[in-house]
Amino acid sequence: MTDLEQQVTDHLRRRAAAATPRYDLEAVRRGASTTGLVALGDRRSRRPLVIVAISVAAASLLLVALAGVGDAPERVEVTTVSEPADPPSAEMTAIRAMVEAINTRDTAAFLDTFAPEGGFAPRGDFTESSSLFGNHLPVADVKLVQAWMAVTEAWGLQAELISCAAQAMPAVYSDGVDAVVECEVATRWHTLSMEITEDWYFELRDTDLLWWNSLSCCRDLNLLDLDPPDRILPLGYDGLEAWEAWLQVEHPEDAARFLNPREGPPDDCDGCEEAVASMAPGDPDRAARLAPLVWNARDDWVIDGHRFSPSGLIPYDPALAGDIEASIREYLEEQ
Amino acid sequence: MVVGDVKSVEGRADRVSFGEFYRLELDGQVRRAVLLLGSNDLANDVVHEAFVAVYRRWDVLDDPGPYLHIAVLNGCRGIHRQRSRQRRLLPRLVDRAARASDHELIDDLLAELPFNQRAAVVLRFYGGLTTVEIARELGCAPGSVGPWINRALARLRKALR
Repeated sequence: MTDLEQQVTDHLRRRAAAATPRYDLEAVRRGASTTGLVALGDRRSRRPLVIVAISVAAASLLLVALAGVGDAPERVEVTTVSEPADPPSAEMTAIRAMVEAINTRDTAAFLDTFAPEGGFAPRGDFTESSSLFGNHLPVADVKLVQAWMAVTEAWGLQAELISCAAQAMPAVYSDGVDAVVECEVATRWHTLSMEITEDWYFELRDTDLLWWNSLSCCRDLNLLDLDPPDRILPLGYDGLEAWEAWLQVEHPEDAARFLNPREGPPDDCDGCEEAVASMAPGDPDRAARLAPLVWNARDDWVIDGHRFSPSGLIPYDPALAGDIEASIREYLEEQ
Repeated sequence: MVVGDVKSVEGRADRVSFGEFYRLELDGQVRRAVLLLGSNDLANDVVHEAFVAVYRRWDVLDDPGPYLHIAVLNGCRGIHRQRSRQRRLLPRLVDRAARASDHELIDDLLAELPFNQRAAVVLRFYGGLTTVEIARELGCAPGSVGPWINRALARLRKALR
């Protein structure tokens, strides 16, 4: 051990010895009996009151387009639409439990919130997924769910429910669903110092989740804020793009190693043009900007032995998360 | 696994009660969190929340020790991110050259390190963990740990010169 290392060791031991732990076992037990997540009633929703039903249908169109296949046989079409309402507490308990499991990286608890045949969108595609559909990971693929949780950990995701509303059955939903809930969620990607606001979409049967999708940018885009002004973390998505631009100028070798070009749909994709347009009806520029966030990026990478093709929001290889975090910190310090 | 001077409680079948687990782990976790955050109050808050999370899942956790470690680390990481942003927004009011002691200077420098660098230093030089153990705790590749510690020490060396 060098002199400096010894000095640091002595310093840390001295500081640690001066710590004064606050022993309060009863407070821990009391704390565990109350809800651990944000009290939804305490936060005023930024959600507009009316959800445009046609855009929900567009979401499913995009899903199909991404999958590159025809209609999904296990999904059912109906036409009923109504105003959003407060979701039942039992369903909110399941959603809160899922969010908490994500935040604590507890894969077993995460899986417990789903029905056995449930699934979710992992923001990309695992090559080994047993689903026929793109961006659809069945929870039965437990090893892949564990790998997805490792990706989540690498980027330091912390999700905070801001508001939730029960929806009537949308145009397309999973077989057996008896409730649909949409939540506005602040997602904080601590490794990237980035925070955005997403629309998380849940389909439930009783209190079991059958389907969860995030970053549903194909519906009312007011729900998806890529650069929320009241965020806690320093960067919105615009800031992440600014870091990428800075990296390419200041550290081109790191840029070549870290970045993974975002790509929209291929030119020969049948139906993709309509899917992109549906992301921002009447605003083709915004639609074109959003499309690469949900389409897969150029390069795959491997996590825990499983090949993954990431969508464009966070396309970087999680094996490089530590280096990317340091680079973003350097960028922030220069700003 | 040894963290600080407290041994984790491992194995479910013959593990202790939650109260005993709390008593065994509290001091070591708070000490480590103090080193990661530089604040006794914040460290106690983070550790408290981590124990609450463990208590909620006590009946289903096979091995609560690692769960607690990760929960505390994640809590410290979250606090660190929020505070580092606040630090960037504030002008530095203290003249570093006028610091009274190396201890204060080391405290200040540790507070300025990126979280993973600081955590790697604490886990190595306070916790005595190996590179692989640190990587496991921080959820990163083992190859990242050495460079983090080297960068942190280089910064300390330069400042202490």
